[in-house]
Amino acid sequence: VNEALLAAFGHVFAPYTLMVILIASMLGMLLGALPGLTAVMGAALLVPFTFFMEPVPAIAALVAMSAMAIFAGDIPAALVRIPGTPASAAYAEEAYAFTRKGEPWRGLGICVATSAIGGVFGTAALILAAPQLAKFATSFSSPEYFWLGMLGLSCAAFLTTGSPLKGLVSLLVGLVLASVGIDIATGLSRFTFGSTELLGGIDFVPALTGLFAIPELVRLVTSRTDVRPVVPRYTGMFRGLGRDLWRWRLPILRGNVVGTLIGALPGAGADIAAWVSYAMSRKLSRTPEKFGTGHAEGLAEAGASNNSALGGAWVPTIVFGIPGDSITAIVIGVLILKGMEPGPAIFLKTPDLIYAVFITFLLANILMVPLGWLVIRGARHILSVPRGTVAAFILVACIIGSYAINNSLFDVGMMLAMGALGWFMEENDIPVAPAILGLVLGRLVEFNFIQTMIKGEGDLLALISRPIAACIAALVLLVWLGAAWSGLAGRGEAADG
Amino acid sequence: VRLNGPALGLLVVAGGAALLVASLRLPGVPGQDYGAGFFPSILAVALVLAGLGLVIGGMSRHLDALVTPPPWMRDPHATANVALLVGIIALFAAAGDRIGFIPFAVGVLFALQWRLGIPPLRAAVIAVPGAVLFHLLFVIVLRVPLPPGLLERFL
Repeated sequence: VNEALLAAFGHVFAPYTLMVILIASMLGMLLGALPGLTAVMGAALLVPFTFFMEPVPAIAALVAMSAMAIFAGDIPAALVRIPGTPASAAYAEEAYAFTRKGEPWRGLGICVATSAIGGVFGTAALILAAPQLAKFATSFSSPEYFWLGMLGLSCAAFLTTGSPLKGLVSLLVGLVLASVGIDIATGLSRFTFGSTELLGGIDFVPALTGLFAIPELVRLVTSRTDVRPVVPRYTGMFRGLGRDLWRWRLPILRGNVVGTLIGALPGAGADIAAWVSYAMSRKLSRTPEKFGTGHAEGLAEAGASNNSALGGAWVPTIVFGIPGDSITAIVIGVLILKGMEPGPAIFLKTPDLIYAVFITFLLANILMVPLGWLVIRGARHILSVPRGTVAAFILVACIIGSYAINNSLFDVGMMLAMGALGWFMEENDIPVAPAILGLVLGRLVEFNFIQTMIKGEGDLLALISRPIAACIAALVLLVWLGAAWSGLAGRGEAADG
Repeated sequence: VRLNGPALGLLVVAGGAALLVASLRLPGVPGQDYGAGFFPSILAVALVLAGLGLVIGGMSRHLDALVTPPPWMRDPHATANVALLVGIIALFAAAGDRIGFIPFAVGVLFALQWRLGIPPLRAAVIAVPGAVLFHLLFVIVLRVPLPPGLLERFL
């Protein structure tokens, strides 16, 4: 353990990695602070770059970028009442109330401090829980992995906000896309329409870029509102911050715990954590009437919650290879690209890499305070970057990113096709994240399924013949029943109303 | 383009059915029970079922118009912007190697900024260093060769 830990410090504190972390952090701050650009899209844009890096800087870039973006989303929420990312939407009104009261910097001070605290807490939970869970998971074999995969996919499909059926359709679309190309089991080519480029399958990077970034670009180029935000003069955000934090220490702690747990739940991420925590804070508050008037309590609790969800989301990601949210779904894709399949074995095979992830998380959350201060001071300039400039740079980044993976123009066309698909899905309220998960996990699920079927000689009972496999299968069943029930209940409500 | 519930459901059913036909036509492997089409055919059946669910679920609700175009399609300026966006990506996919990255990126950064209301001089001043920055980042830092295209003799 000690050797691996030392090696991990060596990886993270290498000048190259530190530089990557710093650049990714700045990028995350920028993307998070610009309304409309989300942490997920930032991760999608970063993937092509990480492709050419060593594993540690690649993962570190994603960790640092996402942590910063989730915090930075609070900045426009507080200053102009537009949440920078969906994770800040829950308390945008509250944060803006501070600005209306003439205390914008006090509100943002609370945001940056609780974000950092939440991030560190989520990381601590990750450090404590992940290795324990991994020990438990080392005895797993293909049926367990099949069911774990099923559990992850089911959660991703059904835990999305909105119709579970649409989540399922999205997931299936992803799985179908994953089956394009040469089938690993039989070596036959499937659904390639005679194209040699499709033999290798649909590449993760152009698919990701297209599905997540193109719909956002469409939104950017079609919106007519070019707001020139009025940002008040900076007057200092650290005065009184210690008092605020101490006063609201219990809500902050509660936000940490709830955020971490929600993050660890597959399919639910930072935005849901913030909504739940804000609602909970209001419910348990002694002064719920003050909420929405620039009251620190809910802001502190939810601000801590969304950042702690990030760390929590990594627990199922590294231990089982089941992503906790959309960002970790992308992370899994990157890990697989790097030849490191997530799962309990990763703790034995590359412990230094896992420790490096832990260290990066801590480092990023500490860096958040000084960088956050810089970005808050520069908010006036960042918020006045015109939409045209943002759209133009993102478009070029998307095109070059999809091209660079295989030096192939075909992939750029693929990105466009996936963009059209992603846009159509968004228009019809079909969530995109399950499709990404299906695309990433598709081959793994199919492989484990076929392998178990061959081992069991076609007996479906082989899939539940081992006790743990049966338990996970029962969980999957529960998720499906829950989804069916909520679907039916939702329809009943719609029919009544 | 937004479809109403039953229409979206039918589209999913049709997609699932097409996939099922394609999966069943995939050849099996002698001596092996599960051919390449086995897993996709399961997905196809699931798609058909999910699509049917959407049709049934959509029927019991108030029906919207069959097809609702997005609001920006009524705005010619915004529609042209989307066409420009698609055209730019398609252009690079079709002729990126002949045009080359730097000329292409300068063109895109300039055109899109200008189109979205940034004065041409300012757009140009941002576009040229922006394109060079992308080029340096990929070619020097990440060591990815980008197509030189029109600038082949100079790079």
